[in-house]
Amino acid sequence: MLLHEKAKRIVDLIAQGASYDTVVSIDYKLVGLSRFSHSEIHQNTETEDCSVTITVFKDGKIANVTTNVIDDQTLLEALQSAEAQLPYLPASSVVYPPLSDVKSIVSGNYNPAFDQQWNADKRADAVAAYAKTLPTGYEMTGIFQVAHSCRVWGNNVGVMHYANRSSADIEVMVMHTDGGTGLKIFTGTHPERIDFAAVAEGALKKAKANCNAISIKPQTYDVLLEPMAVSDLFTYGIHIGAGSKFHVDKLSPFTGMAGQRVAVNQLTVTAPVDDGDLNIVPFDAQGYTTQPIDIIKDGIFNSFATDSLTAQSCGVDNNGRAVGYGGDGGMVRGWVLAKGNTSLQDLVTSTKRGLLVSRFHYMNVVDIKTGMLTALTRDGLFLIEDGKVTKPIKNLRFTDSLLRMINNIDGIGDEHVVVNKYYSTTKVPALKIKDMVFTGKTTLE
Amino acid sequence: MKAKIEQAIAYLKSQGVDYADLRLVDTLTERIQTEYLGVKDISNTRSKGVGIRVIYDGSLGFSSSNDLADLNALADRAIAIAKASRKTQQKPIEMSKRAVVMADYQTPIEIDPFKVKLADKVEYLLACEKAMVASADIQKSSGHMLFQRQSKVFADTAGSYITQTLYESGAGLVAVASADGDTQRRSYPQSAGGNFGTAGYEFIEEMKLLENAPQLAKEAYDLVRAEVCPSGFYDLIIDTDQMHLQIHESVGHPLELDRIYGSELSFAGGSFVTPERIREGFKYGSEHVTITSDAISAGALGTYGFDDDGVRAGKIVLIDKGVLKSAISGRDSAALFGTTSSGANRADGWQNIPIVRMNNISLAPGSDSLQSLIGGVKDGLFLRCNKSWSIDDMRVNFQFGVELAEEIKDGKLTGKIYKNAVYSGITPEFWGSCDGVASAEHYKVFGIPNCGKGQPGQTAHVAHGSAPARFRQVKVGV
Repeated sequence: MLLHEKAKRIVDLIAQGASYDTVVSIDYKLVGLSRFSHSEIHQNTETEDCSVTITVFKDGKIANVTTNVIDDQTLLEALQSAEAQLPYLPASSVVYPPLSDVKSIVSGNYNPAFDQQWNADKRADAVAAYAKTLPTGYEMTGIFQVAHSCRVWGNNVGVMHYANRSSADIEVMVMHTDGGTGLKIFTGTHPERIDFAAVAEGALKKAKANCNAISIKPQTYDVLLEPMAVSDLFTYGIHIGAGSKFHVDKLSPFTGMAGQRVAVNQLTVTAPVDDGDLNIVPFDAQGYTTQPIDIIKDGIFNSFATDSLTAQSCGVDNNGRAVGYGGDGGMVRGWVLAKGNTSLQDLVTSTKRGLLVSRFHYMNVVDIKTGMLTALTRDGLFLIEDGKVTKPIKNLRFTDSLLRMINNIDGIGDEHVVVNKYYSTTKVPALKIKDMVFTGKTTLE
Repeated sequence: MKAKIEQAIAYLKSQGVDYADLRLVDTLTERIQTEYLGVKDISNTRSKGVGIRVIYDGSLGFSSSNDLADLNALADRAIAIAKASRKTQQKPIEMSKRAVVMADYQTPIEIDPFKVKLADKVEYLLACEKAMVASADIQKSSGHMLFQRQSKVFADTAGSYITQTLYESGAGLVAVASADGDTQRRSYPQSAGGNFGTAGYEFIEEMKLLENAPQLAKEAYDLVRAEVCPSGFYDLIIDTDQMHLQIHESVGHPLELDRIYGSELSFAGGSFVTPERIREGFKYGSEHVTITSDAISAGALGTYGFDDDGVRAGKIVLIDKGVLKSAISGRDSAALFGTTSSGANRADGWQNIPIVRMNNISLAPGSDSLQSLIGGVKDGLFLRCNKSWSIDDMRVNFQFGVELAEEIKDGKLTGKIYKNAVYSGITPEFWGSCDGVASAEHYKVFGIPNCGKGQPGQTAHVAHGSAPARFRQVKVGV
């Protein structure tokens, strides 16, 4: 782990050598990953990296240099290289406000116990132990990962923020020889709460239910999305709906809709800062304190993520969600879809005919302005008939508008699940959506 | 550094490994982005480190770090991880045979992109933007350039020692127009950042960005005012700037041998292609469909001297006149299949383990002129430039959106354009409906610098060549 003392030494070295306003950002990670397929580990890796980004500001010019060669001489050469670029850069009207009157932030949950309790040996033990219990005809594939990370932001006027984090991610897919699959995931920051067998057991249960799937016609169905599917769907929705760059470029489906109803009034999506499950870094990539955001409150679109620049250009508050100085604005890295008061079982029971969706695969934006999304179901799609889950179904493709779907929400589950995917951590319940449009099936005749 | 690497290899041998290799990779990138007639971002990034891969007692371990101070300690970590893997191993990992090589490879370039003045690059992109804005009423213009120089050393316990210096250059423009609450974009020469090749700055000059900028803006202006593409089943001519992603998603990824053997199942997915289908010559497409994997094609983005298994780059036929012949592979997956590696195991930088990646996967040109392909369509569409993509976890059901569709009636382009065109299909049925590929004079290669696969996510630089091709009765719309 990059400890505070070493991080400070790097920041101080560059700050002392700087000729102009300068920011130092450090990104450290140590990741141990055991990846298994056919119930045996086929990729077992450990990677450590520490990169330092030096950003120099002068007269509206911004120079950026990143290096992971972090001896003193190379870092000072990187600083000189950034400063040497300035004369060749065109002047810009873009001026990032200097940050001097803020208190340094130190936070984190670095836990070296992960290295004892879940090192490569222990991860292999867990995989091997569960593999022995799998019934005949079933195999498992997936990952067991432990990661330590650290993010630092400092400048040449004495501000330095430091945050570290330790976490584990488990993803187990169990599959039967007939192709029936099930997947369960776990993400957490407490090594003692990790139970690989419990995750794998959940995947096995789903795989057993998913054997001998039948093909049905793609058409409009009422759907019950399990939390992982909700996370898949809303991750794209939040990306284009709450990223400030999409609003600056007038591309977001929510552009110009602040204060307007965009969804059923049961829908609330927030980006909190103090939710321990999301473990949000308390400062952004421009050094500002991360602020909570009510993205959609009771169906009303309220606000999006901003950085210092897009807040100015859009005339809204800076909520400290910058991803850098590259003009990409602010983004939401962790969000919560508020849970409702209906159990998953009751959501099933209330469905006359519909589909239970476990997760989606390869989602993409077909048309950004209308929020048109497409993806395939995978690892468990089931038919619901007369309030009961009756049979597994072969995967289908949906193509539908996010705006339409969030106005067709017909029930929200009463339990949250934490889903860590791609660049964001989410906390989501199950959702029932009426009349979701399915446009294709995946059967190879 | 060579002595230090050789010492680490000697140390690995002394520890009794079955096999080990070490890769030292030093990558320098320069990215320039402009938008709204100003500079959006200029960034320079260097990433240097070492990755050590070990097979010990038939099991795999990999350790990598940006700290090069103690390579023996890094080797010890890799061996310890391999020993942990052993606990789940059902049979020992094998690597297919290949020659021991001492060699050096360098991308042939005419103009070193890192020696071209930053100011000249920025000025050129801004000039392109000005040309776009001057030619049509558009909401936004943007430009992009990306350059990379990667120095690699590969050394292994079998005695290979390979050095490579790979250069890449790329650029692109985008025009965005708005009207009546809608927004549409046009990209040149391709979406997702432009086009990229293993080449020097001459690649940028040959793209003629400035000359094409005005037309791009006009097309964006017209497109946002165009009708939405009708739905139905149509004959399609798919242009090269969409064909490349069609090949990528529905041929390249399904023919990765590690994916076929299940290595990616829980994340990126598997493949409908099985080892048996390769051996039996599965009917993948029509007789017009011949597709190769070619890592030695001059200037293409997926071109290199040696892969990260130390296997010399080459060219193989994947699909011959519609019949599946082989898959792309690395030494480990090739051993499972009982063949030799196609030389396609590559790692994203020093920090990742090599996995099977596409190189240049290309559709061979046919004998038709583009005019004769269009002439054979009574009621159809000419589809240009990728806009969106999605495919299922077994690479069967795909759906693509394109930036622009042109109407074809009675064998002629009518001049009418449509927006929001989407088409979908089932991979072998779609390739089976191909009844013509245009000739070599229409052939173009597009580089993709952001092909994602693996956990942790790895990004590969690949390319696809094709000429426009015709497909019969494809589903258009949702």
